[in-house]
Amino acid sequence: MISRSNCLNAFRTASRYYSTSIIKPKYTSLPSGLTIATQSDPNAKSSAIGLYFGTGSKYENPYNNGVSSLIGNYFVNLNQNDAAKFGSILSFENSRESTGIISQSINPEQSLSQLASFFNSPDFDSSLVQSQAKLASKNAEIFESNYPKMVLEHLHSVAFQNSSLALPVNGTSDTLSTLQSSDLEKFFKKNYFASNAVVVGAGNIAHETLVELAEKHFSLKEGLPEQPKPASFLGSEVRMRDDTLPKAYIAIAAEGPAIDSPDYYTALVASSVFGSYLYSEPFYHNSGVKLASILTEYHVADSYDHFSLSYKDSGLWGFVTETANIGNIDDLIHFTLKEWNRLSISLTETEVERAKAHLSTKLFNQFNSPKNTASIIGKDIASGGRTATTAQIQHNIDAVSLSKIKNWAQDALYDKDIAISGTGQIEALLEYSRIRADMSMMRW
Amino acid sequence: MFRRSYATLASNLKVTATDSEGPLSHLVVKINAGSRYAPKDGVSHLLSRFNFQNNSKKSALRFVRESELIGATFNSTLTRDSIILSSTFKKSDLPYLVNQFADTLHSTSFKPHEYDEVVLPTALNDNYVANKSSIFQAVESLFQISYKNGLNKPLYYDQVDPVSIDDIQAFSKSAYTQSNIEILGSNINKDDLLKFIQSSAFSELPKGEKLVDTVTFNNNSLYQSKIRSKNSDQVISIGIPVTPNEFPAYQTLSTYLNFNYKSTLSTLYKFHDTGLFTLIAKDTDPASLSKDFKSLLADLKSGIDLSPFANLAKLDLALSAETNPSDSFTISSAGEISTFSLPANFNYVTVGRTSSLPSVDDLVN
Repeated sequence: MISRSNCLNAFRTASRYYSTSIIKPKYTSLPSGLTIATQSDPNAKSSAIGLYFGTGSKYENPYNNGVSSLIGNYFVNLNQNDAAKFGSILSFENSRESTGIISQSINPEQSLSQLASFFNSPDFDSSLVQSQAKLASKNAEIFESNYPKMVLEHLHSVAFQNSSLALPVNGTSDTLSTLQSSDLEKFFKKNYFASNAVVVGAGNIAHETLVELAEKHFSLKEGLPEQPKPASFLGSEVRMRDDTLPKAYIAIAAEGPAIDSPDYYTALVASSVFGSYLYSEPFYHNSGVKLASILTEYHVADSYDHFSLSYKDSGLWGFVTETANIGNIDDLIHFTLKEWNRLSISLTETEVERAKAHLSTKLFNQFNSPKNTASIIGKDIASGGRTATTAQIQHNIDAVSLSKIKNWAQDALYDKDIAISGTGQIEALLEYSRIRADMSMMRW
Repeated sequence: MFRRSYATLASNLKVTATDSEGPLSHLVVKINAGSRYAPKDGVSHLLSRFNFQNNSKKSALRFVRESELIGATFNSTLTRDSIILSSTFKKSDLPYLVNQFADTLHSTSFKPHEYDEVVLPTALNDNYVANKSSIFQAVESLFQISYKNGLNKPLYYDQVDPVSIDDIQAFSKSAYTQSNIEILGSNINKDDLLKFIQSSAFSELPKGEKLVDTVTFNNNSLYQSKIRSKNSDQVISIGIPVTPNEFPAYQTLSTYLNFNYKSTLSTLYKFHDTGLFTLIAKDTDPASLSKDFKSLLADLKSGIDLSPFANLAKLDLALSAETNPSDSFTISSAGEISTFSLPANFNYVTVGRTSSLPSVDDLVN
């Protein structure tokens, strides 16, 4: 299936040409607790060196929200000029349970020593922190006009309210502008240790070389970060109606499986039963996904994207959609949730097979560059302690069956509470109880 | 395990494939029929949107349903150079994929109702969405004023030069020929690929001739275009047509500018016979945009030492080779790219509140 991102990037020239090799990283753990993972590809023209820590916005609080992101920002801005000289591009990537820096490079040794020399004992200059905080705060404001992403952030904030999993990944413009170098120092001391760090290499770098370099350069301090209190899901909603926006943007989700749950892949396959949809691409008008054909016939949605997001204690299973057809939002939501009901009742073998084929291509295709490969491995290991090999992914997807999906859906989806988040022209988004009622059927 | 090899079939198809291990393969069919080769403006775009529609062997519906079942993704995209068909799929599905591509090129039905109901609305939507971006408008206009032949044509179909379904079909006959196609495979065994190509409709495509466009560019004077737009983004841009042996210098310049001026976007559009270097600055306030752009141009005129950026430019090239293997070139010596000063002549486009944005003579003096 044409993926949503492919369609949205239709103006870019060609798809990635980099071939997915079998993902089976080599691991080494140093006595300090530092993990090193490498997915080598000697044929790649560049390499990506990542340093990931098992911390992120979930480890923050409402007062220092955005601090993990700001540390990444600070590192990149402080070091990018030097990096450019030896042929490296720095980027940072923050998420709820991991935070990391990636250095795409033609000179991996220097990339690694640059990462180590900062993270071994960082020095946060107060005036530089202040200017970076200002910049980050401005960027957070710009992010707020990325509505589909923003409704997902708000979905987290209501679904996991009263826990730190609710906090926005990169902070808000309000919190960021108040952060000072002492906040960064304090957060760094509490959360950045050898034991929750992983050095990851992908592309043109050998594992032995990376281990040797990491041993030579890194001296992260030992210790363990304090774990935040577990998050729990709460059915609830948040609405930010704004009739000046061109469309309605809505996300709805029930609680999904946690990252180590046996239902992890079942829920992923279930979300792939519906996959993604883009009205402007004719491909979807012929799709075998029943939901896609309903939406196309009445043009009630411009796009949707189903997801199954998993964290350590909980997850979100649902979809995010946008529509300019603001008079028919009730139909869009009703038909979508009625299709979700079918997962518990009348899902067919063909739909499951299609979903499995779609999911495996999608997951394997994520490893389409050294940077993306390093990012996935780094995030997986830092947040969950392990990453799946291609063989394991295939095996786990193959093991999902129609009955497994039905059992999971009856247990986790049917007549369960949902979290709703919406912005834009959402006057016609029905009240919570009406939407909640669509999670079950009057007849079985 | 890794092999890279080239082969020319008994026929005239150029096939390149690299093999390795892994579950997914990529197949790309590059047709030398992008917008610069369109006999009527926009025909290439419409033809690229006709790909994967009904053909005499398979309906579009069956094509979509089958590809969903095997989890393959398909794209048909357009550049000024090429129409590009690409697919990502499970390695074992290669014969199926080769046949899909071959049948699309060989046997598309070009049904009038598909043109009216699917192809035309989708193409017009592509054009509409693209033109909502002031940057896209600026790039289109830079191409238009920088070149005299094919590269001055619009990328997408805009209905200015009306195109009928017969025009599209006629163009497909001259474009979809063996001499005009290049096939690139990644994580694919080349011998298998050649075998499948031979037994597919690829071998039945006429030999044909490679489409040609003789490039002539405008760089002997200052050309200017102003596009009024109510978009809140104000855009100032310059374009410099360059020859392929100037690519290393301009690639490094583009790397330098993107790195040092974060609010600007610099791109080197590379073709086999020419390149267009563009520098685009965007802001919502025309006054501060004009001021910033003037000081940027002053920097460029005074000459810049680019040699510290050679490594970064090399990385940029390595990264772009991952997406565009056939367009790659290399920077051989740092001497090629030591210092740079802006040439006296460049082409100039503004988009937005044009009366508040500088004219080209305001910038040169």
